[in-house]
Parts: sequence; structure tokens; C-alpha cells
Amino acid sequence: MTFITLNNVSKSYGCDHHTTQVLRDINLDITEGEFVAIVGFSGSGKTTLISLLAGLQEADGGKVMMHDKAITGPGHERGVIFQNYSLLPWLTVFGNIDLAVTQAFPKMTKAQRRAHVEKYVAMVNLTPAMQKRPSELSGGMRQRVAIARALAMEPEVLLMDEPLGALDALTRAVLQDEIISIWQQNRRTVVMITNDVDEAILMADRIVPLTPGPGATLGPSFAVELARPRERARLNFDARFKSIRNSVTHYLTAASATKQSLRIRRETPLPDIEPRVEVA
Amino acid sequence: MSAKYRIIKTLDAAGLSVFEPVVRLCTGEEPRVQLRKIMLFIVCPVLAFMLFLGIWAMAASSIQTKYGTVPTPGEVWTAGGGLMDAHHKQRAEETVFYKEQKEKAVTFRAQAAAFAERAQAAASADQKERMLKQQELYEKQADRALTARFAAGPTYIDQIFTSLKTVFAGFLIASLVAIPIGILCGINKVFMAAINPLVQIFKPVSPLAWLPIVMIIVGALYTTDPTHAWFEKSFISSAVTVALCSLWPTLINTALGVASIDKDHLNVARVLKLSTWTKIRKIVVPSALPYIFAGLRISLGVGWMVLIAAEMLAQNPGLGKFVWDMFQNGSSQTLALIMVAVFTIGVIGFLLDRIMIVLQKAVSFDEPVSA
Repeated sequence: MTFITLNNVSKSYGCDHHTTQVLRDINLDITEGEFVAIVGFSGSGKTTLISLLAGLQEADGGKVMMHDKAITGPGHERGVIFQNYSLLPWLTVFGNIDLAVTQAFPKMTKAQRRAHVEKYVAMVNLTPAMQKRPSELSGGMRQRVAIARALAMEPEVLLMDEPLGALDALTRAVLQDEIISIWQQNRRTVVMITNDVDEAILMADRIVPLTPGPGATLGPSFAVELARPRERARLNFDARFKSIRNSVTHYLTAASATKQSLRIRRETPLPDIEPRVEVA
Repeated sequence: MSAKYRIIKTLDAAGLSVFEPVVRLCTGEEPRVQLRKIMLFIVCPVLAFMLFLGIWAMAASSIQTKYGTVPTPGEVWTAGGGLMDAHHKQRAEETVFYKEQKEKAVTFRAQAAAFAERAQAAASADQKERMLKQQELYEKQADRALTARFAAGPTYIDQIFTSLKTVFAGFLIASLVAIPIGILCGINKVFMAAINPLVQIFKPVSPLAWLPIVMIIVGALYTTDPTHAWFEKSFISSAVTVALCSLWPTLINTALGVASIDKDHLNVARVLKLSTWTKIRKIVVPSALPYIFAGLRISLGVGWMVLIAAEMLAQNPGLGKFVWDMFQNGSSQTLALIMVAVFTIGVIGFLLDRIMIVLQKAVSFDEPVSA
């Protein structure tokens, strides 16, 4: 039984006469416990896709289903991690996570809630910074808070929208490892959006490319059958790693090139005219 | 080291960051930079103020009014000192008065007790009754001595405090009205559209136009017996007028703050499935707080300005009434006393603004507030 199903999903923006189709013919099945990475160019509608899954937006056509039920709005069973962290700047690390926990588990007592929050803060190694505000934290630490907030709600699926996109390469590597190790502890379903093919191969079970927009659609899945734990240093010399990377990159660049060639030329040829000189 | 930064931080939180270079200079940190800052932010304003006083002193003597020449800064200072002396003198008299009244009451009570004893020992019923009547009379006199109030007008200091009380009452009413309406405006576009014309029309109305309306309506509605009333009518009229004039900046700023809330934060609210009420409490209001406090700061400033005019007209015992009374008295001191009031009003307004800046700083979570 599939866990999340996208069936012929399409989404357009704009009003009646001026619509731009962002996504079309999106078909995807995600099984439980799977780590799926969706890779695409920036501006191809990746955020729209995750918003559809999160229930923040509704599809114009097709069905977005979870457990064979249509997704009509946000829900606690789907945790979302935004690219720009979206932490509340007036709350501390504890406060940010506590707000989510209070919502997800309204029946918990104060002490239970505290223990629960502390557990997840510890999971992302932020215990010393628990009483700090987001403005006092680095980008990597902020994203850790966002991850802890999403995890603390104990969702069935984690939706990550370019979670590491705004981070420097070193912090990024550290967080990639942390996310993988957390994921391996409880094997929740993860849908991660990224523009980094290497990151996708390192982390995911399956890579689904998203063709460039407008009218983006998903390409064929590439299974990543590399044994875990995957070590960054050794992967670079792994033949399978190279082959997956080449095929995904190749697919995306080819899709982009096709898009370019299909673009309708909007040049209007101008008439070649000369002023008529009238001699009086 | 840490003490220094603690002092600097405290100064900053108290809105006194002007003195930061002094602290840094005392610890020998970059003396040239600090000295330049001290010159710019402390010495320069002080010199300018002294220059202002000098020009005033020179110009004053050349203007002849019907109350004599315009007072020099020195004369204004003396007049201010006179007001303080009058205040202390009156306070002293007051304590003496109450002490005397208490003593009087004690003697009256003693008399009453004496008569009570004599009544006990009275030979005839007729005599006993007379004694009891005398006792009752003395008891009454003792009560009267204790309840007697010191009959004197409010001193200048009293008037300052009345003004402060009035402005805070008005400010409180304004905040209680403006913040909820502002939040509603920011959340609900229909409400905003509906209420916007009203706001635009009433915002520029002068307190002098509101006051008569307020006085008449307060007069009609506030019919509590004046001896038992908690507040005087004039106090309520002034406070309501202050509220009517000062609620607009808060209302507009609150609406703006709520409307310009970060979309990401609203998405968080949606993903967490916060109820509307929780969303307002946990996301909307905290995120709009810096705006709200910026509005409150403007409101308090407006309120303080409006108050003086309102007090003048409503005859509410306060600084405004003081100015008006002095103007009506027309003595040689008139101008000096009014100038004392002007400086008092200015300094208090400045302090109120400082307090609001400190509060504003305390609630804002990232950007520093411009002073």
C-alpha cells in the first residue's frame, strides 16, 4: 500500500486570463519509511510541490492523497521544514518547539511537554542553546531548531523544502549527517526537496527529478542503491555514485535544453520600410 | 570587564546610551573616539542649550509687556523655586493642621469621656440627660475635627501629578480601545475597509473640538453624586478627550503591524494548526508588538500635548489649568510662572517619550529602535 500518492496533480498561478501553469501531470507514489529527494532547478515549482503535500495550497487538478485520503489542509501527521527556518523570533528555542508540541499533544502535562521538548532539542544537539532566541543563533543552529520543531510533533512524514539551501557547505555537510542519523533512528517517511544532486544521492533512497518550469513535471525515478551509512569521502570514488549522479544530471540538463529549444520565439519581424520623400 | 558591559547594557536598556562613551572613557577604551563622541553627544547639546539661554536672556529685557519685561532664565528659575517653596510650605502647614486637628479631637474625646463619667454619677435623671447631651456634643466635635480637610488649592506639584494621572487614564482608555480594534483591522480586510473612513475623518480633529462634546456627554452620563464619585467630572472629560485624540496612532500602527506580519510566520501557524485565538495570542500580537509600541509612543506624546489644552478648557486641576489661571491672574509673575509650566511640560513629555522608547526596545526582537 502506498503511503502518499500524487495522481495527475497540476497547479497554476494567476487569475482567469493570465495563468501560468507551474506543475502538470505530477505522479508520484511514496512508500512508508522511504526517503525521497526531489531534485530540480530553482524556480521549477519545488516549493509549490511541497506546499501541496503540506496542505498549504490546494491542487487545481488531480489528487494528493495520504493513506488513501485526500489532503485538504495542513495536519500534524505531516511535519514541514521550511527553507528559511520560519522560527518565531520572539520565542526562545524552547518556546518555538514547545508551541508545536502544545499543539500536537494537547493532553500532555507541563512536565511531560518539557521532557518531550528537551529530548528533541538534545537530538539536534542544541541543549546549551535552549534558552536562546533565534537571532542569537547561526543559520545552521536555526535550521536545527526548525528540524527539532518538526520532529517533536512526531509526524508520519517529514516534508523538507530545501532545508539546507541557505547554509554554507561545511555546515551543510554536518547537518546532512545529522538528518540522516536522526532519520535512521526512527525511519520516518521523508520527502526532501533540493537542488543539489550530490546531497540527494547521499541522503535519499530515491531521487525524482523535476523538469524545469513552467509546466514542470516529474521525471523517472532514480533509485539510489548505495549501502548506508554512506561516507561522503568514499562516495566520490564509487562507480555507482558517479553513474547515478551522471544520469540525474544528464536527465535534468537534457530536460532543460529541450525546454529551451521548445520555447516559442516571440520576435515579431518588423517591416523594412523607408520614408517616402515627396518633392514639392 | 564584565561590569563595564553590564553598565553599558543597563544604560542602553534605560535609554541613556548617550552616556556610554563616558563609561568607555573611564575604562580607558579608545580615549580619542570616546572623547569625540562625548563632545558630539554631550558637550555639544549642553553648549547649544547655554547659547539658547544666553540669547533668551539678552532678548528678554528688550520686550516690554503689560506685565513688565519678559522674564530672563534666571527669573524663571526663581519663579520655579518659588513654586517649590510654596509647595513645601503648604505641605508643612498641612501636616501642622492635621496634627492640631488630631490633638483637638483628643481633647474633645477627653471632655466627652468626662461628661460620660459625670452622667454615670448624676443625681437626677434630668442632670444625667444634660450630661449625656454634652457628651454627644463633644463626640461630634471630635469627629468633625478628624474629618476636617485642610482648605487650600492644589500646589504646583499636585497639579503636575493630576496631569500625569489624567494623561495616563486617557492613554489607558485609548490603548484599550485602539489595540483590539487595530488587531481586528489588521486581520480582517472587511473590518479595515469599513472603519478606515471613520479613522481618517476623526484623526485630524482637534482636542478643542472634542472637549465640549465630551463634557456634555460626560455631564449627561456621569450622574454619580459628586461627594461619593471616584473621579471628578472634569477629570473624566479631560481623560476621555486625551483618549479620543491619542488613540489614532496606536490604532493605525497596530493595524499596520498586524497586516504586515511575516508570511512565513503565518505558514507556521497553519502548519501547526493553531486556532484563531492562539494564532492571535502567540503569533500575531507578538510579531506586531514593536509596531504597537511605536504607536503607543506617538499616542502618549499626542496625549500629553492634548492634555494641556483639555485641562485649560475643562478646568481640570492640572498643568493646563495652572497656565490658564496664571494668565487670568495677570501679575508681574505671570510670564515667569507660565514659562516654568512650559519647561515642566516639556521635560515631562521628554521623560514620557524616553520611557516609551525603553519599553519599545524591550519588546522588539531584532531591529534596534531609532531614538
